[in-house]
Amino acid sequence: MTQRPRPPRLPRALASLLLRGEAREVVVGDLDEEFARQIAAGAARRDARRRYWRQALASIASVNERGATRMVETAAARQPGNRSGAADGLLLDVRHALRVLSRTRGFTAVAVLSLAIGIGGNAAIFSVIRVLLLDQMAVRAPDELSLVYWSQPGKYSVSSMNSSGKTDPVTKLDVKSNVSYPIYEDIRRATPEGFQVAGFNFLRDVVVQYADQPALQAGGLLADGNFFPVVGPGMASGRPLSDADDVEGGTIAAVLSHAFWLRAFGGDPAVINKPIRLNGQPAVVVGVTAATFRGITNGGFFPVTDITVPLRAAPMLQPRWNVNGRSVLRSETQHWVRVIARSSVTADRAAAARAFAAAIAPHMAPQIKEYVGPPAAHLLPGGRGLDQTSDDTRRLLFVLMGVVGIVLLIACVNLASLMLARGVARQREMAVRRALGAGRGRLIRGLMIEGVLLAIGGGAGGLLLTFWARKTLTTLLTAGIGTAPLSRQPIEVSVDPGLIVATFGLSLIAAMLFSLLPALRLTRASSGTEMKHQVVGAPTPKLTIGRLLVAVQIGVSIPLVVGAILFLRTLSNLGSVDLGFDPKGIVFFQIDPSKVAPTPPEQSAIYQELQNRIAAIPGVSAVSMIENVLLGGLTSNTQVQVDGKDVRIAVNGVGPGFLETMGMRLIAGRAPGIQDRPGSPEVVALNETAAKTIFGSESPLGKTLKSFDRSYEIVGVINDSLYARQREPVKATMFPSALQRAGYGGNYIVLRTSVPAETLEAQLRRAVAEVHRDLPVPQVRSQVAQIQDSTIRERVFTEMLMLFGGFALLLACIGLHGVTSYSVARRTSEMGIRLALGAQRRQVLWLVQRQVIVLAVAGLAIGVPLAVMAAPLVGALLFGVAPTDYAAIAIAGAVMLIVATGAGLLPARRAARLDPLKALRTE
Amino acid sequence: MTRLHLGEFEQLLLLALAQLGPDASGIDVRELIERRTGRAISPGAIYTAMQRLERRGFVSADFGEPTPQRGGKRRRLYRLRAAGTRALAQSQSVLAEMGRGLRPKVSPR
Repeated sequence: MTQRPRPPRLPRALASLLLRGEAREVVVGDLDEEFARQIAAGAARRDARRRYWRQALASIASVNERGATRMVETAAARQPGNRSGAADGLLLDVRHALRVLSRTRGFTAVAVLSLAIGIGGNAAIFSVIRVLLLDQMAVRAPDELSLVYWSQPGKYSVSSMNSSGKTDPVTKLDVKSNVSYPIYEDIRRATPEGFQVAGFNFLRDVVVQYADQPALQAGGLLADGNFFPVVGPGMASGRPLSDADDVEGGTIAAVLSHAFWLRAFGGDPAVINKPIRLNGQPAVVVGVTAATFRGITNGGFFPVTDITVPLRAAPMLQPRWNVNGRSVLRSETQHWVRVIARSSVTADRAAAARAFAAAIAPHMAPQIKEYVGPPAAHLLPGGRGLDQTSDDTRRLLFVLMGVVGIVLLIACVNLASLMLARGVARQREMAVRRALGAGRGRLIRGLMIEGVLLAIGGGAGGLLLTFWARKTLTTLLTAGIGTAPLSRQPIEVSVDPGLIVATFGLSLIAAMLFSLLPALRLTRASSGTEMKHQVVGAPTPKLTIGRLLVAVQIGVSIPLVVGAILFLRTLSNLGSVDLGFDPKGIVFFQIDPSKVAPTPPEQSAIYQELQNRIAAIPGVSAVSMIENVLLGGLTSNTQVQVDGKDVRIAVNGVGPGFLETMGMRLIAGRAPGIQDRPGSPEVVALNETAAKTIFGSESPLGKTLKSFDRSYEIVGVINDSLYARQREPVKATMFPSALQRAGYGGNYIVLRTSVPAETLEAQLRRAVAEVHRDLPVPQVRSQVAQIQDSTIRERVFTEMLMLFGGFALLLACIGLHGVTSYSVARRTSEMGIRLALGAQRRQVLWLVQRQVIVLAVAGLAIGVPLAVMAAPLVGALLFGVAPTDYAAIAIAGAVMLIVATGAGLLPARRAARLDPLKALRTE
Repeated sequence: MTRLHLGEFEQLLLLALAQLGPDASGIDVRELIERRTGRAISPGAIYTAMQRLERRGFVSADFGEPTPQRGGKRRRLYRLRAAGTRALAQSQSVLAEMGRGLRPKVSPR
């Protein structure tokens, strides 16, 4: 049963805010009832919402129009003879300002729209930055948390799981996040007074089964008994994990995240104490964390925490981490525990770090080949959780912030120059009003009220834009975090009240400032001279400031245009990269039989059975499997020994039929096939790059590659293809048989088909369920969609730059058009004289256009150096084009000149078409 | 000083009230007008116009009971008064008078 749809919140809030007393009750009630009736009558929710919007805005308009008029009427009635008091005068001023603004509709629209886009863009980008880079975790006293990192000089070899290195901002040391379980136990024992520590790490892809529902894949968190007391997230229901839960063996206690509880269990409170299975192991749900707590990463995005289980359940849930049958809990070389600490803000963190380092030292000393010195520990701020935002994303967000900042600046500058130009046109009005006895203060107040009204309009428009922009931003975020296109997760970017207040404040300040300057200037001169000037026709001011502002506008929009061109070229370069395989028609999904079948032969049998069933689906022309899907962002690597030397090489296990499925070519020998199953000799194929780098011109066929304790016979060479990313060059890669590597975890089933992925999905899921009903299929995707996703950050960024760059250009044109029109109007009589004395129309046209070109060139002189200076910021995000690409700068300059000339053309033609007689009569 | 003249929108509202009988809500009025004329009217426009008609003594209004459908807000219920009926009749007859003698497609039916 779905919830009854609620009326759209924003227009409802607007109506409640802008309507008073009885009108609010009746009108908002009517709006809600109308909405409910429409839904009840079977109208589409979208239509009903749209109607609500329209009706709410129309209602606000009609009620407030009446209200405002009546207020002014009563004010006027109370104070006859226009000797009104301050409050009533203010109302009159507001009314007058509204009338002036509605008379110059073009100006008002441009001013409001430009403020709205400037403010909306800033608010939207800032709300993303806040969620990603500023917000702390929703836990008790987040400032008290610190993450424990450490470093160890010397050479040693350990395996790290889900670790993240970091450079300590203070010591500039590269530090590690993970320790072994024995180290963690000693750290816990060595914890000084006033500190508490907890151990945790992520557990990717936990298969959750509940009752007879289809199995689900979830993101897991391993946490010891200290985790909940130390980190301190709230609980929505049930209880947190305690030390009593953190045991080896037995039923696993599990805490669900609020989001996962809703997604997988429909928010059913009865799920507490219900049995579930995790990766096939018996478990029981003991609690649900509070909705505000979204895991231990910033923003809770990646890796996602759906379900939290005891640290000591790791050997059961992740048997892969155990080495040679020995529990990962007792291994000194498997580093898989991250440490977080809580202490009062004033506690001696350096002393604690020394204690932790001392606990680590005895474990590491025996592992180091040549001892250099003891390890050191570092406590880094942990209030925001693990910061998983990639440097690229961080830089991109700051660049975007800069871009929207520029746009806001341009919008304000544009507003200022528009107001200046408009103010000059209103000199006569001001002079008349002063002559009739209006004080200077009153006139300034009137002009500023116009500014404030524009700001309110711009701020409101900006808010609307922010709400609407959230979806695009969500896409940007989902794409921009880590390298996890495979674990995509919807992200909530909320717009908070503080931001709304800040937004309005910003627009108010901007508008007040930019209305105050022209206001002061306009009202400065004594009334007499201004009127005389107008009457006699003496020259009006040249508006030097206005022209300067326009040049600045053009200047700062140049980097945006250059950026848009650079990213367009990046996208086109990425699109034309030779992939080495044919992505069209490839569909894939991930499957991990090790979650349901413990031995390699069983897993291999599941893969083969699955391949057979999928091959029988109509429209599927070839099927195979692959360890890491191509261009999925992930690479497996290993070392091989060649002539006693270690060579690093990329690995990707492939199944029978791989070449046909991917549309790749065999260069020599054969690719791994159906005969290369567990038990038979292990084989690999090399790509051309690997064959060349390892064997030179010799044929590698029949040779043996040794990698740690395994040795592979080289059976073939296949053509080069890209591995993880379009941006990376081809890597030397070896392709072992996925059937022989089945014990290493999941593989992707890849198939070639003429049918869209969406059409095939149900049949594929059925085929998997027929092979084993508890095998989850996370996502069925097409290779083309995957490739598009891998460039989504570049595409979103390009779109934003084009949008904002285009907008900046448009604003610059409006400014340019404004000052040019003004100057033409000012020089009407001069042009008339020139024409009367025999000047050609072409010459008059040039007279005007010359000014425009001077302004545009001045803008370029400001903008090109700016673009060159800003270029390094985006250098890392570009592909196949230099950040200071002269062609891009030249194109941007040309575009600017053309657009500027276009903007000047209208007033210039007006000047050239002047009738000299009429022009002279304006004297 | 009471004007008897009614604007077109006011006439629409009064006609709707006459059709609907006593205690019609703003929504009922809106739906009727929209159904018969195809004109979309906002609740705010109805509310302000009804207030005007109340002040002129053509319509009386009262609050009904709050309903959950309306988010706990009360309905405003309108009723045509005798003065309203008179004003409506007069406006209608003025229009009919002006249309007399014209071809049927122009005159009000």
